[in-house]
Amino acid sequence: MDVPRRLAVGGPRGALGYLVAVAGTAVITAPLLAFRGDVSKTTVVLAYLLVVTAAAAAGGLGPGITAAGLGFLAFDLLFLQPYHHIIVDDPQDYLSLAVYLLVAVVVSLLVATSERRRAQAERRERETRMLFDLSTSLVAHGSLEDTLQGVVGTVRSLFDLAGCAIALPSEGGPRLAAVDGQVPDGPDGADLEPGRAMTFPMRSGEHVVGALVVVAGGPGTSGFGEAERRVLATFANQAALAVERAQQEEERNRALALQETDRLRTALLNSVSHDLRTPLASIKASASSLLDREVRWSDAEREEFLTTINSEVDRLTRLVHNLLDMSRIEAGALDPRLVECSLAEVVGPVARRARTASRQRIDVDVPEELPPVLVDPVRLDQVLTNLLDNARSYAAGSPVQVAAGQAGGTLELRVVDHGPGIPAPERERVFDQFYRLKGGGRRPEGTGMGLAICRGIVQAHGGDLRVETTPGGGASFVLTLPMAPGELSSVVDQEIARP
Amino acid sequence: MTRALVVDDEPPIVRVVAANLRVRGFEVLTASTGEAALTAVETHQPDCIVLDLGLPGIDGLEVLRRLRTWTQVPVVVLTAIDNERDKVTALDLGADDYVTKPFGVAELMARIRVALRHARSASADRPRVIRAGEVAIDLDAKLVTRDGAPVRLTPIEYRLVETLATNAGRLCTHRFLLERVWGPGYGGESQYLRVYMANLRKKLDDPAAPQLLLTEPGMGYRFVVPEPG
Repeated sequence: MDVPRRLAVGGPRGALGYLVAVAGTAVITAPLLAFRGDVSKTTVVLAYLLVVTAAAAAGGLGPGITAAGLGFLAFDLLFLQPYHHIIVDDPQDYLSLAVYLLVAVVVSLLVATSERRRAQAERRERETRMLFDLSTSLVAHGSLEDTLQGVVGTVRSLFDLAGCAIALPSEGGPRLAAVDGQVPDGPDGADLEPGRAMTFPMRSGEHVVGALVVVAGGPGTSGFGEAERRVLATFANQAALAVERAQQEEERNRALALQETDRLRTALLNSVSHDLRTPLASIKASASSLLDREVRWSDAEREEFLTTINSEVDRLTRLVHNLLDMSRIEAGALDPRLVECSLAEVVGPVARRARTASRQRIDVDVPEELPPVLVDPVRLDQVLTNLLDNARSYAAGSPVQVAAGQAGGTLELRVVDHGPGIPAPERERVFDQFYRLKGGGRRPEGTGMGLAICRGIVQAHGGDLRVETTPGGGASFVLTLPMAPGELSSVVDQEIARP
Repeated sequence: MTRALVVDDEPPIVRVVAANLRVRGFEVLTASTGEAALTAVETHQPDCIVLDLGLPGIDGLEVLRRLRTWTQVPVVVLTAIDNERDKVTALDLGADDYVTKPFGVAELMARIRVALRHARSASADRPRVIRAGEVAIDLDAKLVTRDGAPVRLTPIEYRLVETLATNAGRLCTHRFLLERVWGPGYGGESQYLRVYMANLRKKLDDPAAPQLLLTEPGMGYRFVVPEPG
């Protein structure tokens, strides 16, 4: 392989050796030549041996021998009588030349060998350090995705590559699971020079987990040397273990998630069956009491049984309605009948109804001038009724505020209470099905579906519902609704027209 | 006056059950949590308890477990229809009987009556001869007769029918019967029971349509004494 290697002694070092050989000889020759009469032959020979040693150290055997040859010629032609001729007068000079040549070659050999050993040791050390860096990148990451991305990133930066990727088997053949830099779709892209892209199998034990695809740097740089291939192949196998570990981890997490879903489903079923059964039990007990011929009930008692039956049937009806709404929302079949209407129109009656039902103080601040929204008024009424009910039952007698305003392209409606508020960790969970706030020792009355349904309805309108803390304490439910499309475009027009 | 404690977290249920007990001459106490129930039992010493198992806080099973460490007051538990395991646990913990929600009031009242009767007969002198229809069991002579004729029973069959009859009207769980008849350590061998109960039915009852020895599927057996008249 005559391709220079990043891990081996590179091309620039060889060139440097020859440069040292030629320039060194020239630099040494000039002053010696100036004082040719005064310097002894020994000084000249030693000076040229210095050049040979330097050239061999810089570039290895080739430059060493080159320096030796150049020195030999310069010594023979310029410093031995007769000048400018190969032949020499003094037979003793032949001996000097021969000894010089021998010593120069031996020095070149020795220096070059030790230099090669040093380079080798250095290369080994770099290989080891590289593998170490690579292995470290395998340990640090958690998920499969992160592990793979970490591997390709590290490989690419350590080898200074144009691209690196990991291909994993999937149902539709191998797929690039993680890519860093530029990697052609086919691992052996046709547009690449041969040797610039390589694929290493990632083996774990007997089976191949995936493949490591590497693409060498830009057109100017070289392909892969033997040492690099060795490191990459070793590393690919190490990475295979990490990938397998991460895959197992993911498998385990998936199983856990399924378990959690299962647990939730059971909790949901329990909750529904409890909620359905409880009113049924009251109704059955009351009705069977009334039918009992052994007992003579007073009018007051009969009245109480009938009242219980009546209110428990209402409770059951509410629950069934909620369940139906919930399943419609989940099936995406809510199908709101959208009409352009103003928020004030909808809020007014709901607030009036809530006031008469509970003598609750409700302050409404919904300006008539607000742009209209595109909503199903019946559904929005349902949402507001529910939110006001909630606010009232948690407000502990303090007034409840309903306020609306415009925020960009959306309208914001806030239902604000000054009750105990909702602790931060539960703020999202209150929108979960069958979630009820704990605490207060008070038995929650609702079905646990109200807020989930509210959010579902609002989202079906393209809006959103969230809860914030009221300044000074309490909960504020914030309902955002998109403006009616005509209005929205006029807002946008205004904004565009504004300089 | 008999004093009853009704424990349920659903006010309508408490109201209906309490009204039914009052109209039948009970003095009624109520509690809506396990803690309140335990306090009420200690301070008012009721003669019987109607206990819902699905209570917030300390649940019904735990209430029962704590009660049974110091009192044998009769307890009829109210359970959800889909909670078979709690039912068995409650009976094994010493509940006298159970009623599944939704229940008819007449059924609940009948269970309370049986539980009270059993508690009284356990404290008073027990009748030495138990009669149920055509079957009579003489506990002193260890003799069982059907229509006046002696019935030959193996020792285990006799102990089984004796245990059931002395708990007449109550549901005896598999575990209860196995430990009484075979001894501790046999609690899980309910197939023994099936075999012996089948033999007992052949000798004392009508195997095709049992009147005396009723099976409560998955739970246990009940010895039923027909109401006189």
